[in-house]
Amino acid sequence: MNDAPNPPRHHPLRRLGALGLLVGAALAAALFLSLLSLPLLSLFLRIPPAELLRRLAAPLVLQALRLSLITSVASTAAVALLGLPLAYLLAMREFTGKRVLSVLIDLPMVLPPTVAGVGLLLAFGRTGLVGAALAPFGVTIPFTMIAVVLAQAFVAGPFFINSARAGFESIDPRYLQAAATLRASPDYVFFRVLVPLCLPALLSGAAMTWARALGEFGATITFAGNLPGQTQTMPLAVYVALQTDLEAAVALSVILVIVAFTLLLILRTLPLRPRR
Amino acid sequence: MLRAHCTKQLGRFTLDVDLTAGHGSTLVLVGESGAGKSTILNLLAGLVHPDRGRIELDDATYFDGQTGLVVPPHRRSIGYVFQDYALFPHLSVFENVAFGLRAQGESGPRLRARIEELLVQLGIAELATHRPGRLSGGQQQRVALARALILQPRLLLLDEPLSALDAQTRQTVRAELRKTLSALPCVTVLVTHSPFEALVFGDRIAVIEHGRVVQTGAGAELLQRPRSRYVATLMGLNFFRGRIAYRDPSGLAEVRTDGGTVRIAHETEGRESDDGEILIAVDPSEITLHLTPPTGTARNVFSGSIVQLVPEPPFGELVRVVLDTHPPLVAEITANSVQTLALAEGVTVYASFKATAARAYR
Repeated sequence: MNDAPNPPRHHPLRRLGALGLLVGAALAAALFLSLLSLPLLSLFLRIPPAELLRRLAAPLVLQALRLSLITSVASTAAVALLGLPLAYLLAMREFTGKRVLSVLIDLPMVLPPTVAGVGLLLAFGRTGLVGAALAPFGVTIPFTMIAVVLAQAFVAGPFFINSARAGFESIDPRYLQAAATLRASPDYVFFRVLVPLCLPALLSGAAMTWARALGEFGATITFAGNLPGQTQTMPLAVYVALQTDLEAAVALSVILVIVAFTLLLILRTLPLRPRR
Repeated sequence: MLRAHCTKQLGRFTLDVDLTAGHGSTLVLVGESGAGKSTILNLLAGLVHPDRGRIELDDATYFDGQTGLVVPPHRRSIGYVFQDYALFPHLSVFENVAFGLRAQGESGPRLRARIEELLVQLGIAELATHRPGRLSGGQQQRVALARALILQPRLLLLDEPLSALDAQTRQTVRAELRKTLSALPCVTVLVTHSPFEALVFGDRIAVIEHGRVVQTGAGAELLQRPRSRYVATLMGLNFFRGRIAYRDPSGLAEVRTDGGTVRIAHETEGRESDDGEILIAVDPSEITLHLTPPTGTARNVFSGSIVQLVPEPPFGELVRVVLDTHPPLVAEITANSVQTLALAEGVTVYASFKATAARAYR
């Protein structure tokens, strides 16, 4: 036996400290989760399922839901298509003005959406830069479905581009070099190696863009207006309903929450990582 | 025939490449890590461009600094086996090997037949549907080789093909790879930091030091006549550079080197001009160690203490004994002798070797 008193490996006070930290962290997490879930819970408690179904069948709701889904998917597709080359350039090439371009792309994320709406209106409105050029051909963009898509793409685009860029940057250049030595042309390498390897980042970026587009309000109402069946998406319908009929607003909100939650859950569950 | 003569400024030094290699032969680039060996492969592959010079493969010119011609990697007839193999993680073994052919627009039963034949040839047919991430190092190596060979390149580049393998796999894979490479009709350039691998694979060996080819030759030539301490050390030889100071009529000559005097038998080569510099190589296994001054006929006896005992891989049957004698020597003796003589770092010993064991050349 060794008589010398061994110093305790953990001082009691320090152990208490560790416990305190754990309790503190749990408390903080609980507080945050309640901040997230209480409003959602309140929505669900407010409305019985039967009432929800009844409301869902209302033409105005169906119209808004349909419009929201179509426009958000369209804007996400547009962003993915047009943003992919940009993300590639930002990730793979060095050029002057790259930093400025990056900031420009991030700007819509921090800009108030109403400002985005005003800008879009000035660009595509009847007297705007592009709008004036299009007017002679009888093309007007503001207050149409196109305007909704443009507003969503403007506000939600950065999410896809940034995610895709990070995805491209994370690819080991060895794979691209290996492909080149196997006599694959640069575009073959892009579509058969780079894009498949980046698929998880591309899909999660698209999901975030889609979610942001689905919830878009400020830019849409400023630039596209609030025409039922034309430009009145779900968030706008909720806002309108809130003025007159609280129950309707709650029903619309609950539907929006369910749709968003389900789609995000599906995206999270998909086996996106290439098996290793 | 590969002809590469080009330079490229790197951060620490200038890469100065001057290499030729013929079809059906393997040229090994050997040198310490950071000597620029892998960069040379990248220059040949077109992944990195030289500052000036010329790279030719048969009748094709891949790079010409004068005309500004640069052929991109995907238009060169090369195969490249990367150090970490770089197999595509999202594709099966079959699709990895098929990649090069598909990129050429090939498909269908002909492609399938070609790939299956090659997979069988390399003994990996049963892995066709596997993902590379689940393969052993040795299997990955063979897949990488198959992927490069399916295009029948005229120039095959291998970067440290065995370094990602554990010691045991390495032995078997080395033998297989040697067999495979020796049957190939193409020019093969293989990079390694291991002199042993260089001797195993190389029909010719180019020793690279700080981005320069310091000596080229067959393995036997490098072992017999290293031209610099770097090459000698790489080959595991004792090396001295000096001038003949005295020649006695019995056929012995004394050579004064930087570190001390070495006696050689002067019937060996290079006696026609005594003035010039003379190079001496001594195989460490020719050096015997004693605890007391030796009484034998060995003409070279030096005393000093043991600086380091290095067991020779793989299983340490031999031990390299590094001594602080003048000149400094490395002896190679059996692990048994280390035991019997009770050798340890710091122990003072006498090292002896015969005058005839000192290989002198100019």
